[in-house]
Amino acid sequence: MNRRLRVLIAKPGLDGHDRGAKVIARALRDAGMEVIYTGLHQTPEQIVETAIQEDVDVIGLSILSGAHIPLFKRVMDLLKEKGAEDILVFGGGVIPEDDIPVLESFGVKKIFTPGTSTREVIEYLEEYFKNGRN
Amino acid sequence: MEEIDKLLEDFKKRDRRALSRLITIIENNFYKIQKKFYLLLDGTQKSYIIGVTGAPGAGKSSLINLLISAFRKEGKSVGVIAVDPTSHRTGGAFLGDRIRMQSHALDKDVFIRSMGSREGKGGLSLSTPLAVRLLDAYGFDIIMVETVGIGQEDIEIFKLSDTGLLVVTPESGDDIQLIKAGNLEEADIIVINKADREGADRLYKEFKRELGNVKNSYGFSPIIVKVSTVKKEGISELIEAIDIHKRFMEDNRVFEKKRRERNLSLFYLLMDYTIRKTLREEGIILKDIESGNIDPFTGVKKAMNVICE
Repeated sequence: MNRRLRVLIAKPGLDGHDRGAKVIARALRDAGMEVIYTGLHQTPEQIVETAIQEDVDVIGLSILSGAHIPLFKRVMDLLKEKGAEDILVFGGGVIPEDDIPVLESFGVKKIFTPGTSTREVIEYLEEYFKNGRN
Repeated sequence: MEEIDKLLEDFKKRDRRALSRLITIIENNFYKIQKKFYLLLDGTQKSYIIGVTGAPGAGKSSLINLLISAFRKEGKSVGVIAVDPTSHRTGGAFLGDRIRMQSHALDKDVFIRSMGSREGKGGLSLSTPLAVRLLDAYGFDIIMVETVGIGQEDIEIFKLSDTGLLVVTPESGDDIQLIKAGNLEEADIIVINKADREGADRLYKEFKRELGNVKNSYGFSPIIVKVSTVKKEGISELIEAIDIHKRFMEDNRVFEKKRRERNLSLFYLLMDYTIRKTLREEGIILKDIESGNIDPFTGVKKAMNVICE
């Protein structure tokens, strides 16, 4: 009952557009989650270390720079390295349809493309965790 | 149960994941580790605890960020608890203090944890002092606690810390009023941040005049320091002020007094938590009081029986 989902919303890479990330962060907060927001230009190393210190259940990455494949790959590799692959990773941003299976093969659970409503993201997370953490 | 034992074991090996998992348990279901928590606290209360409060936007996170750098230069390890407000309506929280501290994310001797204020009045629930104890047991030299900064109730932070910082800015004229009202007289150091802006000198003089002769409950006159986090100025002066305060406490045996008071206050918080939990499990007394079947005074008598069983 007291358990609250903790979500890290991060923006890896070089693009400076964080509007989408902030919109989703607010929506998740309004859905009763604790959202840790780390701002722009985070390296995969920073993201994974932050996720561990904050003990999050979920990492949401917003990428608009086009470098999503190497960035997601690195984040997923680091999570495995640290024994933290139980953290759910989802992504959002401008990601071509063809790349989604590639990202999923790394272990990324879900990609939300532009036009997704925040409601969909919230419902996805609530469904995923309906039986508790992990 | 085994899972908890494994966590405690990993914690003693200074595993960071165990540390962060245990903080989550403290926040969500402390009762799961309540009986074993003391095992972690052997030889604790070694860390130096710095509390940081002040109105939202005063620059608390930026100040902590610079203090982390300064302490790291001295070779000290640093743990940070940053509390942000929980929405009473949804229970959710936007925890953004870390943004200003991310340059330390990869430093193995720095650990930063964001917490929602949840049920805690004024931003400090039972979780905060427990998390501080845990960071202490982990072995950080310095622990900094950032409060939500909503004003009056934040005096609690000064009880939790060895040195309490109140961060004000030239724009926030209300702070002086708060001090005059006595709500924040327990601050050890007043940090005038954004000292590069107009009005900082005037504010400094005002504080000097108001607080020049004021002594807090153990005889210390607050030190006033001007800082600009944007220009990274005044940090070494602030570190020096913390040192002066620390020496004062050592010379006047204030440390022991503070730690005794802190133990007592943690005891009350734990009692409150334990009583509420016991009564929730028992169920009947709370229901009877709510429905008016028994009056609150009879309720206390019955509750004492349940608790002492």
